[in-house]
Order: sequence, then C-alpha cells, then structure tokens
Amino acid sequence: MLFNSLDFAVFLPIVFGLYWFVTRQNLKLQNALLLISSYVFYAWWDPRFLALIVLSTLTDYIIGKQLNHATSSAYRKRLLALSLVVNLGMLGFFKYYNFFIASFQDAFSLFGQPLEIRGLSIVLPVGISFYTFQTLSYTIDVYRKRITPSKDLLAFATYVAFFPQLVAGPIERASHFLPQVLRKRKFNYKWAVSGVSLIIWGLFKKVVIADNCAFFVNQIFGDPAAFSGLELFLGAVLFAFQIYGDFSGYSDIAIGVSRLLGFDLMTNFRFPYLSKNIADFWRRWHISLSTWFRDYLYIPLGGSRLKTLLNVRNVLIVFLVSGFWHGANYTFIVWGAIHALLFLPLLLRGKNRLHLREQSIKPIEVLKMILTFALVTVAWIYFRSDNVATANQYLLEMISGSWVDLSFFTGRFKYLLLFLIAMSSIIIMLAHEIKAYKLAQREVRLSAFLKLFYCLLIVFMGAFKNPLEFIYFQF
Amino acid sequence: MLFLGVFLILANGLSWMSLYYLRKSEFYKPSFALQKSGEQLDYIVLGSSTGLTTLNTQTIDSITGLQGVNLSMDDTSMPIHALMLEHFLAQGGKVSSCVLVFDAGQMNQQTLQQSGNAYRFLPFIQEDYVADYYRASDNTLLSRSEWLPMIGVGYYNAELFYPGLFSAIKPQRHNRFDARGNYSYPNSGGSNKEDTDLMTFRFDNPWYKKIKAVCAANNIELILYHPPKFKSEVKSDTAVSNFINHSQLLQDTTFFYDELHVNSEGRQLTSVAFANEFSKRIKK
Repeated sequence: MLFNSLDFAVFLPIVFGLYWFVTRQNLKLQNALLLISSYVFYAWWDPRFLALIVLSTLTDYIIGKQLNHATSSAYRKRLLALSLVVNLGMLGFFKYYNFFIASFQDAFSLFGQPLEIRGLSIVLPVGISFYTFQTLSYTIDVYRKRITPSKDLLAFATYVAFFPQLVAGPIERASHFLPQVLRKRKFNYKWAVSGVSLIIWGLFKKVVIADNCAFFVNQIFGDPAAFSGLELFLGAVLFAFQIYGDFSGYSDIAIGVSRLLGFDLMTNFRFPYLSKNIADFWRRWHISLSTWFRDYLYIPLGGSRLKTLLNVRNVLIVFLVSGFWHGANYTFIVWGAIHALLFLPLLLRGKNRLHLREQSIKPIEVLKMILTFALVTVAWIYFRSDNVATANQYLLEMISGSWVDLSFFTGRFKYLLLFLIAMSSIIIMLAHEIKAYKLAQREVRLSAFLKLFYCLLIVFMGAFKNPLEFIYFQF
Repeated sequence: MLFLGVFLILANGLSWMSLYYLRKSEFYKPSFALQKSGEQLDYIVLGSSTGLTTLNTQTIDSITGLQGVNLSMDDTSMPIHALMLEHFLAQGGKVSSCVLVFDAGQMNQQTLQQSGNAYRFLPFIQEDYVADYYRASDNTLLSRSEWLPMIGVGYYNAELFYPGLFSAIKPQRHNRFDARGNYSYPNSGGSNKEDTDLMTFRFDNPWYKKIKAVCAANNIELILYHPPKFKSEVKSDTAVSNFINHSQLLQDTTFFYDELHVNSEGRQLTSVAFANEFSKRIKK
C-alpha cells in the first residue's frame, strides 16, 4: 500500500479509529491490531512475501531468547551466525542472486571460458533490506548484551512489522522502539498534531516535488543523448531533489503516522542539502542507515582509531557496502565509492567531525553547501543511471553539450508549467529548511495556516496522474 | 474538523473558480463549442486527432462559401464525438451538416473506453449529459467531481487548474487550435510502412448510431468521412451514400506526419478534395 494512495487514505483512519477508540484499554489488543494492520498493509502489495517477515521475526525472536540463556561463548557465536545466515541469506538470494551469477559469468568469460548458469526470475520483496537490517540489529544488540531480549512475541513481531516504517524505514533499533511497544500509549493531542504536520510536509515533498521532478528525470535519464548539456545538468539537479523529496517524504509520513499512533521514530533526514561537506551530509542523509553501518560495521572494523591505512580501508568498506545495500548494480557501488573518495580527505585531515553543532549560514558556508550539493549530485548521476557507462556518458555530455538550449523545459506550455511547479516547490522547501536549520530544529514545523497552505499546494501542484512508487521501495 | 472544513471549502472554491473561467473561455474544445454555438454555422467537424489535423475548415469555407468550425479533439473516440455533438446542441448550437471524421478501427470498437481528454468536459459537469457520460465510462474521479470539484481539478491540476487561472486573464486563448478550431502538424515526419493494409468495418458502432439518431432528430445531415491513412485501404461492408472515403487519397509519404496523420501539405490537399466533394453533396 502506498502512503500517497486512496487505499491508504481509507486504511489509516480505520486503523486510527480502532486503535484509539476500540483497543485503547488493552495493550495486547492494541499491539495485535497494529500487527494485523501491518500485515494487511504489507500483504496489499503481495501476500506471499509475508512469510519472509514471519520467518525473520520468528528466527530472531527465538535466537534472541536462546542468546539470553546461553553461557558458552562459542554457542552464542553460533546463534549470532545463524541469525546472520538466515537474514542475510534471504536478502542475498532475493536481491543479489542474479547479480552474482551475472558477475560470475562475466569473470569466466574474461578467461575465454563462457559459463552457462541461468539466472532466476526473482521478485524483490518490498522492504526486505529494511526489515532484515532491523531484526539483525536486534540480535546483534542482544548478543552484545546491550538489550535484553523480548519475552513478548506479539510485541517483537509488531516491532519488526510496524507498518509506517516497514517498507522504507527509518530502520529502528529495538532499544528505542521495543520499549514503546511494551508501554501503554496515551493519546497526546500535540504529538498527534505534530504528526499531521509531518504527514502534510512529507506528502508535499513526495507528491509535489519528487513526482513533478520525476516527470523530467525519467525522460532525461531515459535517453541522455537527446538532451543538451544544460538540460542534462537540470536533469541531475532535479533527480537530486526527486530522490530527496521521495525518500525523506516517505520518512516524514512514516514518522507522522507513528506519532498519530503514539510512537516516536528516529529522525531519518535532517536537511541534507544544507550540508557543508560530505561528512556533514552523511550525518543528515538516511541517518538510520548510516548510523546502522556505523554501529554494526564501521566501529566493529575499528572505526577511525586504527592506523591510517586501516582507517581508509574501513571507510571504503562502509561506503561500498552502503552502495551495494541499495541494489545489485555496479552503479550503486560506484556511487558509494565516490562518497568514500569525497569523505577520505576529510577523515585524513581530521575534519570529518566539524559542523556538528554549527547552525549558522555565513556567505562562505553557502558556497560550501553549494559545492557539497554539486558533488552529491554528480554521485547521484551514477545512482540513477542504468549502468556505469551511461552515467559516464551523461557526465561527458553534460560538460561538453550545449549550455544554451533549454527547449525541452520551455518548448511546451505543459512542460514549462511543470518545470515552474517543480522549481518553485523546491525553493519553498529549501526556504523552510533553512529557517529550521538556523533554529536548530530537527524537522520543519508548520503553523495551522501553513498546514492549510500546503494541503492546497498538494491538491493544486501535486503530480497525481503519474503516481510513482517510492524510489526506496526497490531497495 | 474545522481545519478539514476550511480546507474543503477553499480547495473546492478554487476548483470551482478555475472551472468557471474555463467555461467562459475558449481554451478547450467544449468551451470553444459553447462560444461558437451562438454563431450561424453551416457545418461542424467532429473527430479525434485525425479530424483535428486533416480538415481545415478555413480552406473548406473558402471553396464552398460555407461557415464551419472544427470541434474535433485529440485523444478521443466515438463516444466523445457523440458527447460533443450533444453538448453543442444542448448549448443552443444550430447547424445544417455534421462531418464525422472517423477511423475504421474506431468504428469497429463496441465498448466504451476511457478517453484521455474527457476531463475537458469537466467545466460542464453540472449538465446531465456530461455527468451521465462520466458515470457510464466508469470515470469515478470525474463523476465524483460533480459535488467535489477539487477531486477532478486536483487530479488534472496541470490541465484544468492552471489553464483556468490563465483563462481568467486571457479567455480568447486556444489550446493548440486556431480561431476555427483547426490544428496542423508540421511538414515533417513520414512513415516507413511498406505493405498496404486492407481494413473492413461495419457501421454498427453504438455511438455512431447515437450520433446518427441525434442528427436525424435535429434535422442535421450527417456526412461520414475517413481521412487519408498511409498505405491503408479502408472499406465498409455496407454501401452508405453519405460516406466520403479518402483513405487512399494520398499515397506519398511526404504528405504524412506519421502513418495516421497528414502533415500541413497533406492537410491542404485533403481539405480541398473534401471541399469539392462536400460542395457536390450540398448542391444535390
């Protein structure tokens, strides 16, 4: 079920009504309602893959309990390995099987020995990368004795399948979310209003910004050779805002819906295009994933406290794995590598932790923000392109092509109109973000008047005719 | 609840306003038809993109001395042509002849299919025939706009809301057609098709029958016209006297924009040929 669909507009009020008016007095019943709703939400897409969520849930629940009782270090390690094998095995099979087969065949053909292994026609289950990482974090935390395992299967299953964040995050940690599931929730009007505010803001970013940008992005990236340098440049910039509006919009809606149900999810985006360097960008972009990799990969590898060469290795590993997490394509690996290469100079100069508290925007910092955005946008070209060669060609054409031809955007009334809508909505969003950034807020806050204003903008500026799935569903 | 109420009032108010200005304008063909319904007209042309780009009423008028307008709309089919005729007459339009430009494929279609440009009738949703059409075509988005115009206007915001605002300032502006409702493709394109197709059709399309009945009831002469189609021969399985078949009028690819549509040069030749045939029929 899509957040920006009519189905969800019916589904949410029903769940909300049952949650607060029918099951409020009984926590178990309330959690059961959440679990059933979450499974319905997921099954709306494809009920067959619910089995994977159930398998992942049962595996980690049982392993968590076993870890609590186990005293032998070797046995504990075997239990952890089992969880890793089941979760990463599922992920590996559904997401990477065909990629590895193709890579294997390519490698063999290099030696003049063609290898005939047939790939499988595999459907990627929506959200598998998100919920497997969520359950893995639980088992690893139990293994590290940072949390005690859940004794309540219903609560644990609700944590794994909680519908607002099931298919595209934020990737919640059990230490943060499970206690909320086990605690009696009380309806808090202010909290719910802040949730509504985030839902409106998220819908604005998705339906107005991302989907209008997508109209141009799909055409430009579909046939880059047909466009001028300036059009390709604008295509890349629009994709940067499409993916931000799409993904952060989803996260905002997820957090907003959770607040309506009395939960608090972690912030997933914090004005990433106002970052002053790449390190700053990664503290603001997809925070739940970057902190996941920090805690469960980077720090176990030794983080940045080792010798220089090992530090460089760790950074490279984390960024490459992060790229690969997004999909089985070399484009994502190159995207990760570009970010690693941009991050390393900061790490080596010890500047990767600056700007943590700074909220000012001085003129020189505006330039830094623009430069960071430009670098991020170049990396996005690889992320969006079908393959690395096309991305290289895109960049080449962008630099060498004509920088005066803008006819694609201005040639037809409708195109010009949609372009103006996309650009004006981006400016509106950035203006709000700059204000929130200066006030050191973790999210954009909307007054009642602005909520109304954005609802109207969604109706009259939203791209409804070509509703697109959220980009991160495919990851 | 107050928030929701204010939002609904504002969103529907703005939607209603944009539809109001569209209705008063000449931006889309249904509004254009309303403005032209007060004129003394001899004929109207109904059709889809082929009707729009094949018959130039200005050329036809200069040869025949008649007065006509082209009410064809791209991306439409026979049910919309029937709706357009009903709309023109309901708005007070009077005419002696109606030229129905059709494609053989359209004539063979028996089911009501959604038209991509049906939303252009939304400013007239309060008319029963428009509301009935939306209901019959299962277009729930448009049919529900009768009482909540924000649904249709919001969904088609780029096509309705902004043109509505634009029409408030420039009501005489047309959406890709001239003062008499015509549009032409440029002198480019062509087709690589090599073999000639033969297509037969029957005059038993239900909306064709409806158009025929409406014309008969209003004493309007119905002329059926098949435009040139590159390397295609079109035949009806029954002889019909009011049928002008120009499917094979043009053989050279240089007269075509694509397989289905003539270009500017092709339009000129076809319009002249049609005008000559049309004059003969009128004299009869």
